[in-house]
Amino acid sequence: MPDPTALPLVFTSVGKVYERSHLGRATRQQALRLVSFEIRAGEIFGLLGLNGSGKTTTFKIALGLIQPSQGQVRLFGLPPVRAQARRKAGYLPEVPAFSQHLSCEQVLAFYGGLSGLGGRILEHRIASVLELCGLKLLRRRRVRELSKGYRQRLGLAQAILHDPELLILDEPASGLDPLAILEMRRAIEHLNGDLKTSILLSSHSISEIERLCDRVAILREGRLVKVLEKSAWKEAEGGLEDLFVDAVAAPLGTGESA
Amino acid sequence: MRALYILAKDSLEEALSSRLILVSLVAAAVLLYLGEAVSALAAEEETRALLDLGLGLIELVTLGIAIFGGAVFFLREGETKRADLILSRPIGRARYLLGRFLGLALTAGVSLLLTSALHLALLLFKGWLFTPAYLYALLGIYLKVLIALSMTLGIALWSTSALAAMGFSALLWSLGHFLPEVGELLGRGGTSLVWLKPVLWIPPNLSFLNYRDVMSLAPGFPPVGAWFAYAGAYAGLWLLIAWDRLRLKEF
Repeated sequence: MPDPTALPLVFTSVGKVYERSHLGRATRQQALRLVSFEIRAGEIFGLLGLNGSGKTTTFKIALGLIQPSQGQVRLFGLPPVRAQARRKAGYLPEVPAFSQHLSCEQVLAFYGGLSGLGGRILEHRIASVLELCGLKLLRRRRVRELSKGYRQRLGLAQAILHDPELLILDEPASGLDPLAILEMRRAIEHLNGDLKTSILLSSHSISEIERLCDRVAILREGRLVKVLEKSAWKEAEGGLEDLFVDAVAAPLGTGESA
Repeated sequence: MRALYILAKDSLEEALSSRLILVSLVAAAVLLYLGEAVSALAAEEETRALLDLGLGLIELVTLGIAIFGGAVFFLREGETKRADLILSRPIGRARYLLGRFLGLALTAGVSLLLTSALHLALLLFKGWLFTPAYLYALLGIYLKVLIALSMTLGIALWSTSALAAMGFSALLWSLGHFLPEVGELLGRGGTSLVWLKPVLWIPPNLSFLNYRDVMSLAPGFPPVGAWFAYAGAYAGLWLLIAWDRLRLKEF
């Protein structure tokens, strides 16, 4: 059973090496190096980093989708490979893929069922998340007929369907128009502010991270080079942007984890 | 159990929406029509020729669906990252595999039912007298297809190529129909070929389930219990091999 007092997510000295072989040639790619951080209950924790810095790898390890090569990960006190650990987590990948022939309602019924929801409760939750994500009028529309923005909303809807305590959002605003970004931000604020959902999110938009997050970790080439409290970027003259640029531009080894 | 049902139903619906079954049904109808034309050449044995040809075609079409589905399913779920979304739910990988296997087995079953309905209608139209042996032949075909499906899933998860998985499965499938003959040939080869004998344990003994080849000889009630036990054990073994790969697979 998950420990109710456990932190939503704890990474301790986590490393990940991708080993691939093609036509007898083996390649090794170090994606994460000794990454340690924790997500506190009720906070929004941002991951910032350039492309290939290890953000998606971090998310996948957190959900037990891939295994760390070293270190320890605990999701609500349990190893994430344990199905029960994932019961309280929701995940929105950068590009959520759904069966094209299903309607929005059917997609949600599918993922809700896999999360153990059923009957009236599932019906109620589907109606609720369709409303929250602005999909109520499109509930019978098939995935293949949805624009990218609406697919992203559907992605968020399936992620929050089972009322998770930790929400992992990989580039939630990716490909959205400004209005949709605003709606996505409001939804995240509602989930965190009103429902007390802990949130781990990544974004290339520093301004979004700056507005939403309580703390931010900066990843660079698989290393966690800084963890910043909100007060740090509030007090900094150039805001989070300058702190980020300093962290990713400085020679490696000069950054610090706090 | 509910997760298994949801995954199996989803796999079946996906196959139906991709028109895989429709295409196979049309193919089967065309082939049966051609089979009917060919069987007309068999003069007095016309219905028997139609029966044999039809069952052969049903098996090929169902096998094609199972092997194709098994070879591409997890590769496609990995490529589209749909597997990530499903596995981020509280679903163990063993249940994920079993649910998808059941879905693909259902898809093959639906195809078998539809094509055999076509075949049966044609046979009855030609004046053939129905016998329960026909149903045993279909059961044997279906169990063979389930074995092929589990083999394909196992091979597809260990290889990275759908084509290789289909090729290997087809090879094992073919070899599985001639195991007694190959064993006998090896025995005749003397001691120099003895080392090859353990290799014969790898392919399934499909001739054991090949009731359609002998049904015309009225062989009596087939060992259905032993069929289920053999097919269950063999398919279970390949599913274990598939699971061993899937449990740590990084999509």
